[in-house]
Amino acid sequence: MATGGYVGKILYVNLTDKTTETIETSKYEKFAGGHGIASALFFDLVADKQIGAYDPDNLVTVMSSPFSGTLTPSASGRTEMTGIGSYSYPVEWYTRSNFGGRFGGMMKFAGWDGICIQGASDTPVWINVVNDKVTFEDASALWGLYTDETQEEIWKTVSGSPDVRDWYHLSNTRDGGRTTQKPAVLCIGPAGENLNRNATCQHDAGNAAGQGGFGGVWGSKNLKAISVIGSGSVPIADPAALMDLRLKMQKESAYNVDAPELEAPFPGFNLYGIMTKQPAYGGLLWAPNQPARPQGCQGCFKCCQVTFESGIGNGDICTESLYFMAATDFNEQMKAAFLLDQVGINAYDVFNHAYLYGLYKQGILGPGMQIESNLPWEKYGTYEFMDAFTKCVAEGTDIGADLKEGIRRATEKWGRWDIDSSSGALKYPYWGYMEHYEPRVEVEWAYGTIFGERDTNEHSFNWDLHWMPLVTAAIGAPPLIPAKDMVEIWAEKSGIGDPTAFDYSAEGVYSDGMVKVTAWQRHHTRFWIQSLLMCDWAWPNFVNYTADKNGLSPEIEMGLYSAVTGNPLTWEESIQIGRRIWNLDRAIWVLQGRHRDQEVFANYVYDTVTEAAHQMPMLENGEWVYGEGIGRNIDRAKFEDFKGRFYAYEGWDSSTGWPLRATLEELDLADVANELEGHGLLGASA
Amino acid sequence: MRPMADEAKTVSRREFLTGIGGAGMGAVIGGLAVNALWVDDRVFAVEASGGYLLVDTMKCAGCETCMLACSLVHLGRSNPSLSRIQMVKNPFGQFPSDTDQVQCRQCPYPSCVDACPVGAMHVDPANAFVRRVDAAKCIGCERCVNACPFTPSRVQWNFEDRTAQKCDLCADAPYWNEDGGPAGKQACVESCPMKAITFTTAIPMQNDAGYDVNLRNAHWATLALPTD
Amino acid sequence: MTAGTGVSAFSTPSKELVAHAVRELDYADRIVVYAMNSAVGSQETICYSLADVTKTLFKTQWSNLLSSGTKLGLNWVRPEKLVAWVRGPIGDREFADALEQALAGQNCYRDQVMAMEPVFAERLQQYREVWEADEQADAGRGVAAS
Repeated sequence: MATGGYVGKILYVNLTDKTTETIETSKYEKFAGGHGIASALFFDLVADKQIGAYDPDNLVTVMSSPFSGTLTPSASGRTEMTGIGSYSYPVEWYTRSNFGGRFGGMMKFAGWDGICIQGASDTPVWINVVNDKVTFEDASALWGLYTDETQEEIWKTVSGSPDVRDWYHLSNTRDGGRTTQKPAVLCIGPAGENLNRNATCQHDAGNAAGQGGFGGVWGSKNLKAISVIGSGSVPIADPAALMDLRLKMQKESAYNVDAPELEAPFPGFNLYGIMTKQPAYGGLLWAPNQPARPQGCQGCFKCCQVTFESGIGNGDICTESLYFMAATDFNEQMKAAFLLDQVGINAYDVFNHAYLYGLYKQGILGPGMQIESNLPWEKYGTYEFMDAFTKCVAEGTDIGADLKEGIRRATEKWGRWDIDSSSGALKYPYWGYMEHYEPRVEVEWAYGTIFGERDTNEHSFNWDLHWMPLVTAAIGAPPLIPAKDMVEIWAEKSGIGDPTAFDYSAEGVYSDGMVKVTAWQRHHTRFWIQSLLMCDWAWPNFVNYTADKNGLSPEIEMGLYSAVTGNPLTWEESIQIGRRIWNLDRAIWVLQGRHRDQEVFANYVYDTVTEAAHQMPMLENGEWVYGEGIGRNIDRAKFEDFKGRFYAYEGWDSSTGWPLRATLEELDLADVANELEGHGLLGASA
Repeated sequence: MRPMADEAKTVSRREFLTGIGGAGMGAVIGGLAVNALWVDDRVFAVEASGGYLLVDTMKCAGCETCMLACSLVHLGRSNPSLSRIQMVKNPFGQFPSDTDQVQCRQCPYPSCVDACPVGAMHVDPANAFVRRVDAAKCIGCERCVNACPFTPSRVQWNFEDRTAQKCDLCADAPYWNEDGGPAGKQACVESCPMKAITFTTAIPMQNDAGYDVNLRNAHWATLALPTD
Repeated sequence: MTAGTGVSAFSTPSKELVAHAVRELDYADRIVVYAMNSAVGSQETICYSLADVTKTLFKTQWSNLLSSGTKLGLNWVRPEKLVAWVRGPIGDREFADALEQALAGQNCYRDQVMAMEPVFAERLQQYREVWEADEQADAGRGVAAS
């Protein structure tokens, strides 16, 4: 019997020839879905792993999971994309990005578990998927359009604008399928068309595959958009069990909007939403000054986004919403965020406008300066400046000619990288990615990033171990769960076992326990977050801030998995599959040239100390506290020692960081070991 | 009570059927507990439904959970196209017109029931007169789909099982461990994470645009969201 | 104001002090506020003026009181550093002293911010009155506003 959750086919697109083939999903089920299947496809279909991001042979895969298109809580809406990305430095690593909305579910309703694209079209094209019918459409009229305009044009072309709210027939036969839903579209904006390394792919309003540099990859393929509309069904092994678990989650671990058990202590204190899981609590700088609704990705039970009366910046509650921090007007703040969506640029890369203004203030950048720029710097802090800045990056004009290569390469070219990354004026500590949470204290994030290939952006520990203590300390309230209890819950539920592994003190961050924590997160997220596509803003649910302190994970994941797929799975097995996928990725990076000597942070991480509090659990004098972590740095030698122990723990050669054959064979990756060996890149000893 | 009797004497049956298809009758008798409608015997007469779904359109988060739940509990598979409640949205739209929630209004005068030539679409006395399809009798003519006075039609053509279907208030939801139907629970009501859908036995106040529903209380205001 | 008296705790600042205090600072005199937000973690917000700091610090939505232009993140600065900045680059010793006094005994960040805000409000209102009075005097003398 076919495994539930999958619809059975992956669409392979050859953009050069404009042909398609079907790949049976069953061939790849051992890689679970999402990222796992995408990495396996990349390994099989890209012969030369050393090609660049813009080489036509680069395979870009957009992949769903068995949970996509179902009401598995906060596990339906996210879609994974992988391929060689153009953003990272110094090597364009094989990488991933992930976006919310409804694209993955719609792929499955159309009968596809995923779409992978290789080759490059000689002219602008968009791929039109209507159930099993796939056509290549001329995108010359779309080329140059903003991403919202692109989607609106495609909706009109396929099934009518969103104002047309009626049943759409996907074929001209009675039983060819119907839907009221508009096509799910993923597209690039002008930045991707201009091969910006910091370009995104955008979907609906406010959903972006932002990091990784995929926008430029699509641009290099002359691929403007993929549109999918489908009317089919996702098979579920045990529907009643799935429904029970969904309702259980909502009853026991969700925010009751009518009668919340735990509510923000002050009205509108939305940061408290991190603990309460209340809707519409995302990252806006300003509270909505106008009527609004919460907005949720497909099948979500939290619904953290917002749709506004103005319609400007719908869904922009994440990083992009903070792009224009100097805004004194809510609508201007959202207009700037929306402009990033429209042109399709990664907010993390262009937050650096504040750093650039600092260069202007120092007389290093500006008209006639060492770094020439005629942007209206004297109007910095106004919307007029933000508009001009954003557009110059998207178009590659003025200073944008350098910034389109990403801030890491731009500052290298200007001769500013060494000095500014050493002082901390420019906080891009790993692979050219912007600092995301304090690398000198919340090390599982920093270590996971440096041993990987991009900002991990995985909030697994972050909500419970960092945010809850920060928010409660800020308002002078006791932590909702004391540090000792928190680390015990996390140690037990994760399976790591030893609570001291979660010690983020100055010594704890180099411990063998932290090796295990770092490795565990790599394995857990590769399976549950990036392959089964459970949203990291909701999962894992180890902790509950209402009645009992314990959340529903990991038992509920097992229940959801077997309800949807019909297959049993233990927690240990799931972590092992994640480890398999992580090691497959590691092997790809090794084939791309990875060596332990590259895995170092920017100088400021070692040579400057923290000034702001970054609460994490710490053992101080034998007592568990949520320490502030002020005055901290990473010690170079201690980190190098940690690195060797991490490699040994993962079963990699400690001198190179290359996986050992025994490790890969244990993970059923013998063919991967063979390929590494063929290139002389197999790890020699632990 | 005979609210429409005088009108029935002076308008044609066709005009009457069109005029009261959904809004007219509801606007007149919404909120009243009326079990049966007295009308001239030239006009089709049915019992009013004992249950209605109310959706607060301002509270909806557009997450599609209702659609995913509906198809799951009725058919055992996940497919918004086969959901008996629909939510449509424009991601770039302006609140509150950015989304519509499209549920069956269990019309006091059900055009769909009247249109069915074989009695497959019927009023079910065993389930508080909910309007529903007996799939075994359905001949696939789709007259019910076309007869619904609302756009999109609240009757779906189930193109996989080849039968018409519509909201039965979960009277027949075999893939759920709860008792459904007007006397039980509805999957969309239970699964909506915003609690934007509720069930009522009284005919709602309504107009062509929909029901007049506000399910938001003071806790909604603490989220910096509107309650009016 | 000293509570309930309607009398300011500050002496009236000179227009020179006001002009100096509200100016845009050089790069070296900047102060960094950390915007802590669930989307991106701690984000450095570089402030080059009193206006920048005021705008950044005092709109966290702790309660319904701040009803217009309220923020959903938490913008953090080390209070001692802020006091030193007001005393140093901003050059207003009285203002700095008043802040220090307001901060004494406040333990959590919310309480610190709520203690500082009325001090900022009062002093900045004084600045504004001095500035406007000076502009009116200039207009009276036929001097163009600067």
